[in-house]
Amino acid sequence: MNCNTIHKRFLEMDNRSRIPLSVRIHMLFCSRCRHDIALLNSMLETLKYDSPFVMDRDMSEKIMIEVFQSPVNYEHHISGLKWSVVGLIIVVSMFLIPFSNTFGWLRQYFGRGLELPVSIVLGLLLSIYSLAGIFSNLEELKKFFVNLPKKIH
Amino acid sequence: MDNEHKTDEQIVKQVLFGGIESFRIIVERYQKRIFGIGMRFFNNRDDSYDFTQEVFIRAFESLKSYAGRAPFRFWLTKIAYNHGINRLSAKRTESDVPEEIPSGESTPEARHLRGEIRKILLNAVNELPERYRICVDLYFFMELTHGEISEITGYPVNTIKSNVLRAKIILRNELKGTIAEEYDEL
Repeated sequence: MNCNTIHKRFLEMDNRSRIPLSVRIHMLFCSRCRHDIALLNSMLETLKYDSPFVMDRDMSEKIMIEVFQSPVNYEHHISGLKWSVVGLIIVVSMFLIPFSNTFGWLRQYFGRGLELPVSIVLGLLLSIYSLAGIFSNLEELKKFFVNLPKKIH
Repeated sequence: MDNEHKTDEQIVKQVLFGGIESFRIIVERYQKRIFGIGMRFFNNRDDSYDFTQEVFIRAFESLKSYAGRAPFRFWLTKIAYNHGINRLSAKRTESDVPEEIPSGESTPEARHLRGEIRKILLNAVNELPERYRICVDLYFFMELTHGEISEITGYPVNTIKSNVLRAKIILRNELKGTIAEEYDEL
């Protein structure tokens, strides 16, 4: 293959594609093509972080002010439904604990005095979970309770 | 990982999880290129600045719709192109020749070299039919593939290929014996 064909093949390459094997092999033996292709490649590389027109002012601050004023908000939010479903699973699990084999074995080992501290700990965990759920959905709860009388009437 | 080294897609995830300040990195990465698209559409600096701002606000407000299947820059370019088309149809602007102002570069040599290449490419692009110029910009400056440009602009892939090829050939021929070659030989 001659140098012109190789150049044409190189120029026809798309962005984010690999240099064809035939071009690589040719470049191994032809120093002129190696030089020309490397030059053109490096010139094209410099353009990737540029623009055809020069900006004379930085827009980032102005844009960010608009962004913060935008009505769209991407706060990470777990819905009330998810909190409720997981809470229900936790409560059901707590009621099932006394019927589990492990708890039976613990009761045999520590006696009946174990039930009270376990109940206190589980109650405490459930309270923390409920508080976390309530505080992360305060707005929704507020709306719900404001609209509740209207729904009842 | 330092925010500056994160990929666009990682930054988008961060923004969607409430880290709105991270959107600034996206703006800093792409403002020049979006401004370039604006200049292609309006050929007027003030309109292009407004356009840049509007594109980023639109991108921010519809960030949830970015599914992550294509590169983020492709998605952003699509928003910019559609917005450019809509804005242009609403308002046709008078011609304004852009003045060359040096951008923040590391060394004077690099700044000069980049300016030369930009000038050569601009000349090359100006030899193409007007409606295809933006395709060449999207190829060189936004690193989009022929297929992606075709999807955004609606022009056939082969037309885009041939215009990009023409620009590359002009660029290659112009580069011979220019400052770029001398710089390379140093």
